[in-house]
Order: sequence, then structure tokens, then C-alpha cells
Amino acid sequence: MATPNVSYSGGGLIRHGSVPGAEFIGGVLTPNKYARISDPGQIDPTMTIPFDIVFDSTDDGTTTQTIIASVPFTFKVVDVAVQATANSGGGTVMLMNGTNAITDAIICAVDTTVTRAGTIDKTYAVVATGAALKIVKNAAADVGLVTVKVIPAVV
Amino acid sequence: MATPVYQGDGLVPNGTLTAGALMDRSVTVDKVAQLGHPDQPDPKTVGVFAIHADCSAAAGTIAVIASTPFKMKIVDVIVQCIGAVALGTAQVAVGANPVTDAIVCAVNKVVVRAGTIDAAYATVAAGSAINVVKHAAGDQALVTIIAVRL
Repeated sequence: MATPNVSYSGGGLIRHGSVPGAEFIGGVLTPNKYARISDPGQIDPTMTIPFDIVFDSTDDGTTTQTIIASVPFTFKVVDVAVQATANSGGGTVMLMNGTNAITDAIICAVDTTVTRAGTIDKTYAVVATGAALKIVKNAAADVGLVTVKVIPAVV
Repeated sequence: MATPVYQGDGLVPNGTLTAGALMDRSVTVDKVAQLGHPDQPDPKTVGVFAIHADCSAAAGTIAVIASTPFKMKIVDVIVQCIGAVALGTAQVAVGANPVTDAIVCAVNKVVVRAGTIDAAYATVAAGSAINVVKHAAGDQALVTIIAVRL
């Protein structure tokens, strides 16, 4: 199964003075770099730092693509946006927790159009450490930028 | 002037961000970057944070935060319905003042974002109460508030 480019954004708590320059760019994702919802160390247990997983879905001839084969820590999906990067009649993208659907089939049919998740299933929105985060497309030619907004979670 | 502390929200490709450049994962006041801080790379640059609350408890008003730890501005709200309740809504309020519209929360699994945010109340002073006001006590909402520190 193909694994197209994946990039992560944000969420790391960075110490004072480190934002300018090279230190801001780079980093390996590890659990202790992320604030977790409900962590007793938070200033308020409802507070956390969200981050985005950005996945560039290209046409590799398959309809199921893996974003992350084994997620490094537990997180909860709170939003998904799909930006179509080509026209593809009937195109859709569905976010999956393994083989279980997290979202509805999000339209990805008209180049440059951004569509957000219409539904998120709480049963599968929490993606446990080691689980696979995937998308299932209506057709291999359905291509677009998939941005998954998540919050790290204590379980 | 106190040493500024930043919270990152940029792209982090592999490589140079060392463990020592990171704080631990707990969110405390001095780890959240302030919008407009003169020591930011650009004063418009700031990291967002999220307030995430399960507002499904049986009450018309859910107290999300009793006293905000610092001044902030709400920039977006996402409501995920986790149980069908006809006419259900969730509205973020600061004290008794509504920040958003009444966001529909009536059909299980459906995600709805804020349709309106009132600039008059979106800026939340330190020590304020953030509440979620529901149409009815039984409304089932997971509410994610996206905010920046001021």
C-alpha cells in the first residue's frame, strides 16, 4: 500500500526564545511534545494544543491510502478538511481509523474546492497508539490535500 | 521584561528540533504564546490552543472554564453532536454574553462550526467564565474552542 507524503503541523510546546531560526523547523514527534486533553498537568484540564496532520493524496492507483501506519500516541480527531487538487467526478475522501470510518465521505470532486467533514463518529474518533490512520477514496483519481485536526488525548 | 515563552504551531519536518528546545507537555500560563508580543518572530504570529469539553451532561448551561487563566480571543468553535436531540444547539458564551450563534447540535455525528462570532465578546479577559449554553439540558455536544492568547 502506498504511503504518500505526510507532514505534521504544530502542537509542540517550545521553550522561550526558540521560535526564530532553525529550532522552529524540525523535530521528531514524540508523545511528550504534545499537550494532552485531561492531563492533570494542564493549567485547565479542558486545555490542550491541537495539531494538524496534512496528507497529500495522489493517484497511486489505489482507493485506500495510509496516512500513518502506526500512530505514535493517542489522539482525538476533531475536524477534517479536504482540498481537492483535481477534478474527479463523484470524488470523495473518508477518514478511517483502521477499517472503521471516522468521517462521512467528504466530497473531493472539484479542483480547489475545500469541503469539511459533515460527520465525525465519536466511536472511532479516538485513534489509539499503534492504530492506522487511513483514507478511503471513491476512486483512485480522487486527489487532494487532507488536513486532519486532532488533539492529543489522555486515555 | 519577562523572558517570553512561545508555543509552536508551525510545520515540523524531521531534523533539528531537539528535545531540549521543547517544554514538557503541560499547558501552563507561561507556555502559551501571546499575540502581539514584541518578541514573536512577527507580532501577528501566535500558536493556537484548544479548549475541548464534553458538554453532554444534563444541564442547560455547562461551565467549561470557571476562571480563564489569561486573556484570550476565541477564533473558531467546532461542535460535534454525539447524540440525537431534536432542535439541539450549543452556544459558547463568556459569562452571560454569547460569543457564537447557537450552533446546531441535533443529529448524532454531525459536525457544525460556528456561523457567527461576536467581536464584542470574543475577547475573553483573564478570570472570566466560559460557558456552553444549550437549547435543552439533554443536548449532546463535544465542543472544541480554538483560541489565541492575548
